[in-house]
Amino acid sequence: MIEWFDCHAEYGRRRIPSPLQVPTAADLVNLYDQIGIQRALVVHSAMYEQHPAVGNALNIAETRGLSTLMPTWAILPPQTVELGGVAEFIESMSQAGVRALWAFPTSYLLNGITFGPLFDAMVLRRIPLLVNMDLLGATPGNWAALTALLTEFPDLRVIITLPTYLGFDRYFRPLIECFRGVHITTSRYLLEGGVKSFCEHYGSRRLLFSSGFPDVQPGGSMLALLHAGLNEEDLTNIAGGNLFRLLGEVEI
Amino acid sequence: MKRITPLVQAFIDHGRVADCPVIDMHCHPDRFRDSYFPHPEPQGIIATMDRCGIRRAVVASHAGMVDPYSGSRATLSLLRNHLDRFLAYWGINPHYPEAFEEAQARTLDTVGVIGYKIHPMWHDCALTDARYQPILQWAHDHQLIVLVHTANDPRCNAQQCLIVAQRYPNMTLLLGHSCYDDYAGAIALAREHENIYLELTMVASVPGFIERAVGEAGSHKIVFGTDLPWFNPHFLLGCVLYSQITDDDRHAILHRNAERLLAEVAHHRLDAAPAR
Repeated sequence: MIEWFDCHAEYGRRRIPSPLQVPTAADLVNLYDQIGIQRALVVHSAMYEQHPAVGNALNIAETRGLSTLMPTWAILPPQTVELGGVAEFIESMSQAGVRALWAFPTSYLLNGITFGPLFDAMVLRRIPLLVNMDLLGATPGNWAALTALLTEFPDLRVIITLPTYLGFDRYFRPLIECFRGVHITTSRYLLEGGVKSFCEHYGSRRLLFSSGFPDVQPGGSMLALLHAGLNEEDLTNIAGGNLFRLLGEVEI
Repeated sequence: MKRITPLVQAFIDHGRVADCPVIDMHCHPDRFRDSYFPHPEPQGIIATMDRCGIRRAVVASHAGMVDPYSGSRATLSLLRNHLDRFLAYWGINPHYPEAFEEAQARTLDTVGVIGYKIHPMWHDCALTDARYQPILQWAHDHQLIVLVHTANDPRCNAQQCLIVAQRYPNMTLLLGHSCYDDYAGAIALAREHENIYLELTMVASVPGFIERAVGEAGSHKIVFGTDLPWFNPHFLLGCVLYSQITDDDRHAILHRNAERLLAEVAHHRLDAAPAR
């Protein structure tokens, strides 16, 4: 049986509600029980809708006791010390059991000048950074900025959530070839034949199942992966194995 | 409402279901400038259709909407070789009105051509622009299906669609992408106008759209589409299947409505001239 481990799911109340949003982590667990997703790496909407300091704390409190949900935190530039200094932030992550971080870059630049010490620490500890390209926007300039970031931190583990439903293979496949830490999520990788073609070129260890909930109608990504013509090993990797491995390799 | 019904489970288990033969009302069987497609050629499209349980697709070539003279030749070849799997919209480029005569004739004398594909954004020409009207009038006169790319854009928004739907009530207007980003407008049009249908390409994955469209317009006013080779049909099928709607709704969306519309077009064409 395939074990689904969703690397991008969200709960909480948004400023502008999504029709499908669920207010609590427990509600998300109930929904996932119905549709057959066993685990999820989760975001609380307050992490980007209010403030990372608010949302990060809520994500820990809400997921406490829910063994199938793993909390993430959002980052901010260390210079403003809103989340503490780098060492303090990493120590807090460790104590809270957080093993992956999100960048929601709506008010800062995602580069070494801003995040150098934090990204150095993340490389050392193999902490993955999830980058929400939907918030960044799908402009060539933003893909160029992401390329520059990876050039500066070639060993940073970066999980890219694609920005829209259109094909972006011409942008992200060069990154996959050049930077071994780059991974792509599936919630908006709708390209027909894309997943199979990706696996034929690069193997299956760089794709991660994500629902994109509540921004994507649930179920689509699951059914697409189930019948993409993948062998069992590739399907198992993408459905959850790769995320288990990435989080298991975090040294914190 | 139980989410995983027998129909949904059958798609999960097998990827396709014999008694739910999907009809794809929005397909483009060739390459496109701005996107990589692994399998854009007809054989690739057919293989995908087989994998996903799509019995038939209605196509309009990308090329035909650029060059109306040479671009649609591949569509004709597709109809000649695979009429059991494909029907076609004749692609319209409003900047070549001298090509309209053939576009009109094809709907009478070429078996499988059931209407037109119009893309007001791609051609930067509003749907109500005078250049489109001869084609829309022809579609009205001959009760054809017109698939229009629609979005929250002044060239092809709900207001534009309302004007032409009222002006040409005998044509069936499919709102491709359901007025993307103006879902309330699209749903209201489909609810209030007999000749307007929502089409699900891309918007099937928009959270809550399917449930809202079924609730407000009714599942009898929605047809399925994939934009193949753009989008993985299973992704969009999954969005329909996992929605909180009934299996009757799913059957209506995935094939029954399209079967009804295509049968009506076939009926209206009984008087057509001999096929060439």
